[in-house]
Amino acid sequence: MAKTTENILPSGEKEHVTLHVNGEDISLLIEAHWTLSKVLRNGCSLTGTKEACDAGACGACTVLIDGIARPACMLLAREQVGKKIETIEGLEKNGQLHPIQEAWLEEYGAQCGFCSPGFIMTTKALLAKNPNPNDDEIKEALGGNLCLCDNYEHIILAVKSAAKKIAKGGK
Amino acid sequence: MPRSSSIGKDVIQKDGRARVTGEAKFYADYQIGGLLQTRILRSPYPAADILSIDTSRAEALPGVSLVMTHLNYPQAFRSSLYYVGDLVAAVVAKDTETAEEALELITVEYEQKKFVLSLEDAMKEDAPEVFEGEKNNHDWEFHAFLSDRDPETRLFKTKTPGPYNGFGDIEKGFEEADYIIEKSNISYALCKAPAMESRGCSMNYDGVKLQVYTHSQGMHDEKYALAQVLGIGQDKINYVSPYTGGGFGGKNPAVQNRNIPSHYLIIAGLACLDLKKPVHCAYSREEEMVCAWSRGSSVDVKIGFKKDGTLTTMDYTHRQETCSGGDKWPPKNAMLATGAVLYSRNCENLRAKINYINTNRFTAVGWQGYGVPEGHFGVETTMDTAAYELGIDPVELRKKNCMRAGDIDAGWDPLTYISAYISGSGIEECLDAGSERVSWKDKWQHPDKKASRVRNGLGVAIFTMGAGRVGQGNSSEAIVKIYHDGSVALVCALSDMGQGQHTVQCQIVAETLGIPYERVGLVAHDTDSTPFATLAAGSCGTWIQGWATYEAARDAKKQLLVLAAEKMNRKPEELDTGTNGVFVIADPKEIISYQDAFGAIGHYGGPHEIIGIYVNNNPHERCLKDGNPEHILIPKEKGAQFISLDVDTETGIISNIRITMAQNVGRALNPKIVEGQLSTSRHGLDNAVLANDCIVDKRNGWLMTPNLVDYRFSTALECDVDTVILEIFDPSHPFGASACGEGAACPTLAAFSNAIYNAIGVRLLETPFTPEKILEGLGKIQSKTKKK
Repeated sequence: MAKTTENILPSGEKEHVTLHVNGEDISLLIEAHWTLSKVLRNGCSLTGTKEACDAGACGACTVLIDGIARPACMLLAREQVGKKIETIEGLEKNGQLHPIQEAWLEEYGAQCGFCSPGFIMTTKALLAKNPNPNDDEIKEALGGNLCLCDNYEHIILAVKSAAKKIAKGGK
Repeated sequence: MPRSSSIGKDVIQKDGRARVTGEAKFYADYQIGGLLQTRILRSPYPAADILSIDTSRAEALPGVSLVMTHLNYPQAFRSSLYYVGDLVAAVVAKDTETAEEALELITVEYEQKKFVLSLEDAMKEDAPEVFEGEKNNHDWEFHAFLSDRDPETRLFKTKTPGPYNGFGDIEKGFEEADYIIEKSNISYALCKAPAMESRGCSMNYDGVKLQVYTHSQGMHDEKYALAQVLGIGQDKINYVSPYTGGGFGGKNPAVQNRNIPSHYLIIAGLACLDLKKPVHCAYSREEEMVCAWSRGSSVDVKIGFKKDGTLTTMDYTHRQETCSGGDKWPPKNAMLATGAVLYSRNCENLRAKINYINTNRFTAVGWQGYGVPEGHFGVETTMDTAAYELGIDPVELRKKNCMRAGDIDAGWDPLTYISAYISGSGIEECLDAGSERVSWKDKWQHPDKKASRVRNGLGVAIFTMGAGRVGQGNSSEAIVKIYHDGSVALVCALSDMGQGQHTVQCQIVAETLGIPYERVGLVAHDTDSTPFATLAAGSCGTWIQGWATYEAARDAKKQLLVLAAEKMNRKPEELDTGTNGVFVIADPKEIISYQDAFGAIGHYGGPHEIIGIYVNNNPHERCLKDGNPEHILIPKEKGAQFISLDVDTETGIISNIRITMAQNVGRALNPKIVEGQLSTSRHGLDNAVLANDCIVDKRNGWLMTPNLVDYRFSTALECDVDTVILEIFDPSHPFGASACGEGAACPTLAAFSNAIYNAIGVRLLETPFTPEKILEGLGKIQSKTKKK
């Protein structure tokens, strides 16, 4: 049963929740103040979601909540019950990279790669809404994601290439 | 084609797939059962002594395993504190929440001391001493005067310790100069090394070894140092570091140095060994901002010219803010910007004086460029001033004086002080190619001719950065294994923190063996499985590690050809390796597979794999001019950067920033990697314009910008970076490459300042270049600091 924010638990006490992550229901024992990024990483072993700023300022922890790109370090895990959560680990299907991942690899979108999962998830949300974005639209959509390797030219090329791949019949 | 080739191609990043699927394991992604968590109590005062510390309540809290202070761990903690954020205590507990709760239960009695928070204040006679009994302002201990210049080779033969670095006769040089251009207090505000992944580690003692999971720029170096401070043998540590989430110099810890904030290693190491339990110690973003690598300096530059613009004499003074006892070495690299290297063509007289100054701010340690950006900011803004004052086009003035291939690197590095031949330059070509790309000749206008509200400016700065060391100390090793199925493994510890070295080194192996890049695997994830590799710093991987990798591949190939020659009834020198096996050079159709070259394997067969190895520790014979061991060729990063921007003269806001980065890389082994490296020009932009300044509250020494909201880095929105890649073969590398990486951020502050001047005629020599400073320069607002 979905918990709501009204049910405040005392500090240190845990509650059972079920999160719907990458198409699967995962039962978890969590504390009320735990963030989604923490629970994904430590509770679900989905360490592709990175934590880098703890302030919602860098986008490294971006996941999709019902299709919308959100920073998981700014969301409470218990408030995501009943929502569809998508992480970087949910993109590859049957050993086949998602077209955005393929494009990232081909265009050298990752340098150190720490920001890549977040950028890729933001891109997925962007292309679902706008399948053929121009440069300004891409920059605006990615404006909340930091790449401190400054790899933005390659990243923008990767987004464009992904858009083309998807238009040609990718997912 | 019997041989495959991958050099010069955009092959897929060797470990790239894991980076885009989320499978790449950065250190914090290792999930270890029962992992204890650490939180650190940090000093609230910029200077204080701990009079007493009571940890009893913290220790009594259920779930706390260990409380560490200077009383029980004097090797890690001190009773004197030198900056806000300095180490007071650490708690190791079952989870982060418990550790944080325990921090609150530690009672500390401090005695506050006088402190000093700026470079200027620290240099005053009566300034409080950061370290008692030690003046804040230090003369650099490693100055050397170079003399006895060989008239034929132009190399210096004698070095003498002295009060400054240099050569020639500085006084005479200025006396004979037709023009002297001078700029003082060119100030580079303290700013932070960028990296997405905060620093930290997890350690686990497995009964035999201490397994250290962390990021790294040089895991063997780090392992040796950690073993020393923990008092255990180097054989008792395995350093595991397959991925590093950005480094830029900041992931190069110095655990032996108490002042340098790489304390996560010693804290976790001591706790893990004592508790015999796995321990995680990581810096939060705030801690990262408080104690990550930073840089800041103030320099003076005076340059003497002949009437025609020939640069003959340079006087350079560098004051490095080391803060609370930080790294005093970066200014050595500032020498690259001077007549010692960048302007070595005509500079006959050089004096470069270095001081380093302590303050009660978080420890400063060099990062991307390591002193070079600071030096270039000073020299290249002064050169620009000279261009306007002499009435010479800024591009032409640089073309007349910049270093060329064959000019002399005077020997600025105090590790050796050996002067050497610059193996490749191409700066003139970069200036031409960059000028063409930005339409310099059509678009460049003197600021006097600009009158509109929004004015465009075009600025240029050239740069050079080290790419290896002269003489001994270019130490790196490689092993190349060939297996009987024709697959190959490169065993190499060189860190790939995003700069692409794992990919490039595998390309070198593939090219040397003539096999497809995809067939080369990589063993690089820990110290137990790899030989020593150079610290990934100074953009030296392609050169220093490149030679080791190339020669190890050649060694393996040689052994395989001997094996194959027996089977083929040929001489090894008649044979070569390629995509499908070993073939006869004169008749490529005569070929045997790798499997056949090895012959039988298993209990009655062998050898099973070939192991090629090379230890690079000296200049390679191909890095000697005419084979003379005294005549060393030394590669550089080098090029020219152009910045175009618009300045709004009513608001002081800068927009439409476009960086055009022209760099001669010798050979672009992987063009996409090169482009990616050049895009780090933005790090200079961060420091120049994003108000990217470690603002400290003068009342109490607290950092006011300890997060990624207040301290900004470039996003996709701030600017565009356009790259112009030149490939002028460099004779000092097996495939003609030199280096690219750190150089991209070196000229940016100067190019930016020069572009602002070109737009509005205001010379800004103090970063960050805020709208306020622009409006002050235009006389539209009054300076806050100059009031009263």
